[in-house]
Amino acid sequence: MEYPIFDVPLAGGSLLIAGVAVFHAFLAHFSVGSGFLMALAERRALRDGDLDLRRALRRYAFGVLLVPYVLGTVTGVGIWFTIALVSPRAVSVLIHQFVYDWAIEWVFFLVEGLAIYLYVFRWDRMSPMAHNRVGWIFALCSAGTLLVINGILSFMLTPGRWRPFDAGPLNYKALLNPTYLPTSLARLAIALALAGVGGVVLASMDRTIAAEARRKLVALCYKFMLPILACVPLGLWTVSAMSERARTFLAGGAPVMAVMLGLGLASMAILCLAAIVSLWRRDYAVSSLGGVLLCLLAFVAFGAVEFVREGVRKPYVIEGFLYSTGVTAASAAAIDPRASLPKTRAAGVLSAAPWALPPGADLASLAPARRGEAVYRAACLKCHCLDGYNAVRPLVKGWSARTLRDLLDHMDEVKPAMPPFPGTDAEKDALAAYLQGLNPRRD
Amino acid sequence: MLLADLNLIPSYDMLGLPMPAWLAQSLMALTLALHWTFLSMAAGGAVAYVLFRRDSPGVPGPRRRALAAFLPLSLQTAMTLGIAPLLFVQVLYGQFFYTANILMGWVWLGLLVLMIVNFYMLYYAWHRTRTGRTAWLLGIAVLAHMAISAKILTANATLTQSPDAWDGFRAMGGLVPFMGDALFWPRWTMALSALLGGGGLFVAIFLRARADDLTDAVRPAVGKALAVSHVGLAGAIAAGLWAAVRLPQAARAALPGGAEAALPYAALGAAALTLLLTLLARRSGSLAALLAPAGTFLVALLAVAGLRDAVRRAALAEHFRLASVPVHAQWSSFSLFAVILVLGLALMAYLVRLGFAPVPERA
Repeated sequence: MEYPIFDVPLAGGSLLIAGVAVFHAFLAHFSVGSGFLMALAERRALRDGDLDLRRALRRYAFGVLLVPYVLGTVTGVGIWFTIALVSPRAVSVLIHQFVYDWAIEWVFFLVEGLAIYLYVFRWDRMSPMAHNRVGWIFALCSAGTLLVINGILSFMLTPGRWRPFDAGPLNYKALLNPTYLPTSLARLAIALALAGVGGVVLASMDRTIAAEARRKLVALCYKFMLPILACVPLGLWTVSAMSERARTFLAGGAPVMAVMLGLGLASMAILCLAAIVSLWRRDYAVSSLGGVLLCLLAFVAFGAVEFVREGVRKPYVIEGFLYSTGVTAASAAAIDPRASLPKTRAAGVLSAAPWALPPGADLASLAPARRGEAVYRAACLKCHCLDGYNAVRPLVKGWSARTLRDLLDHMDEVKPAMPPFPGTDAEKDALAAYLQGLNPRRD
Repeated sequence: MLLADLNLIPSYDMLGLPMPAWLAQSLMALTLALHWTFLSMAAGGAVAYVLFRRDSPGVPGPRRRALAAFLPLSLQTAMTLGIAPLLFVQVLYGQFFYTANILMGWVWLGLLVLMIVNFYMLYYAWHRTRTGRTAWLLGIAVLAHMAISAKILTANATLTQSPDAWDGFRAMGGLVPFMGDALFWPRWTMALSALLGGGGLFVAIFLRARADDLTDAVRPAVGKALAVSHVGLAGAIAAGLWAAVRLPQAARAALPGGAEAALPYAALGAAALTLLLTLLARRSGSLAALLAPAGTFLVALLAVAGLRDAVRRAALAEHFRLASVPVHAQWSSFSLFAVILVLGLALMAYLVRLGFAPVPERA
């Protein structure tokens, strides 16, 4: 609200975040699961004296562990960069609340970085048992980073008993929030499953691996896919802990959310079924088409669930505390000196959003005709471009000024995913006039 | 219109400081210095690709390959270490930092692309070296990327501490880096020079450490690397003096007193001592003689990191004082972090032991 507005034409800031975040989250979860898969597969290879399997794992280590790890790290920084551009107030609150938790995650990163280097580059220069131990350390530290970051992500959805300046020792009220445990377990299950899918496809396409080694590896990968079934009860647990508004979205109040949830769950079920059938029939061959389909299902499952997780939080970025507009809820009025909902409704949203005004302008001198555009930039642009994704122009086409004005009066009632309008009645008038002007009437 | 009239500076985060300012500043300076150290290693390695294009008696194949394999790790470590100062700058000066990021938004996002491309080039260069091919063009490309990244980061840092320039700069639409501050060019020059200064020194240490003896073959190679270091260090000292001259009077007057007043002298002194020690090391050639300037170089980096923060606070003094922000310290979380940090460092030592322990011969 108080910051410059990062305008992403046609796509919008939220789509920019989504693009980077899904890519990162997919890689990161795959990296976590692959760490365990490689460590366990190597352990079994050592136990059985299977040199063929160990040689295959060595070939895979660079592409399956190192590349996702490096890309995951860079895209993780990328998420940080993008959300700070689009929602700087949200990032600021999270940083100030969780700085030490992020610092703990950073320690895990340091250990991971050394472990992965040793694992990949010193494969033949360590004793096999020592090498395997390094693999397990990498896997456990990866899981550690996932558990830390999920504390923050789940906090945004269900802050639980957290209150500003009252997060308890070790931040436990914020981190150990109502959805932390089910979502952490679900993410671990998804991580294992993604690694399993990747491993199945890789091992099946590798023509140089010995048949018995392929059989062992693919069987292990299918077993890694089985825990994804746990996402169903864990998902139900998560939903039960959400706000009533979020539960209403999933029950049909927001059709897109319900569809995406169904798509995600269906994809997970198919993946699990494929694994069960293959294990039962001891069928460890996968065609190229089958491999592509498995990967596609995994990506759809993952992307759909992440979409739902982000969507059910609307209109908040931090449930009950900070709206997606950057305005804080009424509960934060005592500590937010500039941009809480009661303040912006009394003094105007533009009083808290000077960057929404044209360069060099101030509120007193702003022409009435420009005021509506400024209100749009302050209160709407973050989620609604003029044209493109989630665009406002086609949304309001054909609407009368009266309809627009009424909507602004009851926005959060008509569409629960929308925040309450954060400005004055005069600002509503200006915005309604501006929005109606976006689609000139043809006489 | 005046900045104060426009009210463009966001307010400090409503949750206040989660730790005393001095703690965040100290951790920021320490992690920033470590970040620069590993960046220098990566830069040095890229220079080595250019200096030592082929196997030679002084830099035989195994040594070239070992250096090439180490470079992606050094860049990875530099990136991981760079996360920490980013975290602390947001804790301390978030409202200025985020604003600067947004005003340079597209350029700022370009850093990510540069990072990915740099990693790809270093891994590809390692692969080429491993298979007996040259990679000097990639070395130059990596150095160019690092120079561009440094430009973006320097521009962002100077924009962070120049709120008076924000309103005028917003018309750029986030498509260009901010180079309008008097300190931009000296800071960028200092960054590039320091990368070469530390990088050349690192390569010299690497080559000398892996040689059993300072033979007639190794000495010229170490000398070449040190020559790069001399140029870099001299350039960094000159750029530092240039920055001191260009520092605005208002900021100079607002520089903190007390112990922090010694920072400019500490930085200059440590850098000059590093240059002197590298000149001496060139004559001596012993590993110990090379490690001494590495120590003083790290001291110089620490002093510069601290000085950088002091200059930032001085430049922002008209608009913001850290002392005015309430502190709600999270000591229990800090304690947990400290414990995990110690355990993490111990685990890293264990990993090094595992990774480099002699492999028992099979019967």
